Amino acid sequence: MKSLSLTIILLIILTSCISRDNISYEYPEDPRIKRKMRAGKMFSKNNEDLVVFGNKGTIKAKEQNFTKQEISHEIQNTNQNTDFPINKYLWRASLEIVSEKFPISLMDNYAGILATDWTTLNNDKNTRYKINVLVKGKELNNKNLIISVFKQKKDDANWDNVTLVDKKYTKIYKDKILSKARSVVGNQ
Amino acid sequence: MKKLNKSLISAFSILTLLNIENVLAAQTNHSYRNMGFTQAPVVTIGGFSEFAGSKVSQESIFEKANLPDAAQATSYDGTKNRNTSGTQFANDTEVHVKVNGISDLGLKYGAIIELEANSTYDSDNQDLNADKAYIFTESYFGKAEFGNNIGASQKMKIGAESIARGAGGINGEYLNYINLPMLAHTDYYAQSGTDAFVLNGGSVSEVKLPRFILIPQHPTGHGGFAKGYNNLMFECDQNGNGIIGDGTIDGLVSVGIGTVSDEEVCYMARDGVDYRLNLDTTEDATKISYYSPKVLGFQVGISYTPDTGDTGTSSYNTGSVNNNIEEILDWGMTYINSINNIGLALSVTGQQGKYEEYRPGYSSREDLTSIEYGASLTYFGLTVAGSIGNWGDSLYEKSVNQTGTSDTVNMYSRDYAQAQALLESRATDYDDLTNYQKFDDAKYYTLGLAYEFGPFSISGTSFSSEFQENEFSAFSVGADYKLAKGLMPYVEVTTFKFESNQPVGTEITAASVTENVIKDNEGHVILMGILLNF
Repeated sequence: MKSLSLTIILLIILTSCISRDNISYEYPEDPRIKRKMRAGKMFSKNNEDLVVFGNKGTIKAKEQNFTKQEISHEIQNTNQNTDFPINKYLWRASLEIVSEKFPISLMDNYAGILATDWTTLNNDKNTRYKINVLVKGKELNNKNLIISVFKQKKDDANWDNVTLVDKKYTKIYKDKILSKARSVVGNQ
Repeated sequence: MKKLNKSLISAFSILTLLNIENVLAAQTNHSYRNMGFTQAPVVTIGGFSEFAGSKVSQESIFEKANLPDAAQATSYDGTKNRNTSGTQFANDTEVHVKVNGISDLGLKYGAIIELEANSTYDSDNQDLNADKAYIFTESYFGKAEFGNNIGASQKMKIGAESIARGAGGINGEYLNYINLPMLAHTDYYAQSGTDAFVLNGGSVSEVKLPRFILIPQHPTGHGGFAKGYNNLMFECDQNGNGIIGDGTIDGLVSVGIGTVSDEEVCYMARDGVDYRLNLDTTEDATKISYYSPKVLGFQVGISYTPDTGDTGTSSYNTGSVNNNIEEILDWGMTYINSINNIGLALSVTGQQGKYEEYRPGYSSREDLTSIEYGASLTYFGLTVAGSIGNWGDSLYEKSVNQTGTSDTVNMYSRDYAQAQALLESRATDYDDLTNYQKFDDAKYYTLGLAYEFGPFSISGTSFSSEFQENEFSAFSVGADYKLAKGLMPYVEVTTFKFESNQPVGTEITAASVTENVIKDNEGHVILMGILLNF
């Protein structure tokens, strides 16, 4: 039992040291309730109960205020708008960064999917790029942003059929989007 | 126990400190910024209603109108059978009221009240009142719960039961429809002039009524301690009086226990069949729980229950009235992560507690110590899960009677062969009795496979357990279909089998006896139902 207490203390220390991306505020549920939740809920598309008093928006607004004061980072783990199934900061940052240089060909904000057409960059007419972005989950973290930048080379007059993932641009765009999203949260 | 107390204090000091820190922070901020300490309360209502129809097949002796526990001396025909083979319909409904708020500093808090809304008592004998009611707070440091709710081990355990579909598979819904093995009276009751046999000394106290682990849980989790059938003739009311017929324990007196008061027989019966080991409803005993945030996939939770008898308002607290379990630490640790579409979940959960003696001088029990290891692996819609649980000798009767007046109650601490040796050595020093081999640890295993594609889910879950050489196994196949938002019909078939530890040799005086004294049961239960979640 002593070791259990020590584990708890260690976890508390860890929570204050570890990157925010690695902390989430999800708690275990009653397994019998979990079974019933598989059926979903009649009253809401987000599996929530029927509100009979108050407004959930006020709680969400408070949560926003909570983060603003930098006392907790909980906002990063709960989306402010429960009707929006993905993290809206990540989504908005993806749109802003990607659309700067790429024409967007596909966008689904509920599925969190963003795809662009092929485009050349930096005056290099022999290489073209395309970006696919998937934002999943409500938390603002590294794992919830999946991004791939593809490239093709020109072979004579035609584009080569070989499509490769450009690791350099993938990393650059991922970092850009994450920084943008975090700066938006920080500035609120 | 000293060590336990120390750990307890340190663990809950942390918990308390965390909450105090939040409150202090909130108050400081409040005055500093001169802001109102306002809340944004939201009240929501939810709940469920579940209807199920069943068809049961059991051993023929358990399908008759009366159970085979008849006491001939009292002209008692046997208990009316609640679980015959006919079709049965059942309904279970709860209404959940939730109150949520958030302070200026982001301390989330609220209460959850889960109200029973049935037309009868439920399986835990809970009437038309609350099933669970507790307060919670959530902050940067984690979540705390105060009140009547399940403990950390039950919430954090992982095993085949976690992935069961249908009516819940090995979680045990089917158990409400079957009979447990029982001492069949027509076999053990002595009738002069017949070739019926009697037990050694003509006393039923030489025979252990078997108990089984029926659900993969810790001893004070859902389903409670190992369960067995109490032949009605042993039942006593709160005052120690027999409740059969005219209020006497005619059956017991007749079979040769002799002239004893009702109260004494009741205590003997209790010691023998654990009648008052009141653990059926302890999962919601009043407790405080703390859950850490999930850090790098790791999470811990711990609950503290001072007394399993405290299950609601202070006017119903039991103190030392019942033989409950005290100072329960109920804990869990999990690691949950997913890498490249493979989801991994590991858990270790456990319970520690102290047995509260009901009547000094009569049989006592071992303390509570149990542990369970569980794991699950998910790849797309396919999940495999399993667990191993070990209750150790939790709540086993202690081997030596403190007063030394009678060692028959200690039958429950050893298997039959050892118990017989104990009986033969009654004249010897009681200290030597500790050398006799005890039962092995009580344990259970689960293994299951589930597959989910779109709104359809199917699972196969198996469970096997051993408690004092009484074995139980079950295999369940369940499927459900999400027909509409909040509406899920399901079907489930579960086969089950009991194998009791039968008294042998000198416990039974008639050599010609070939039948088992304890009647075992096996069969299957078909459940078809529909769940409405709102």
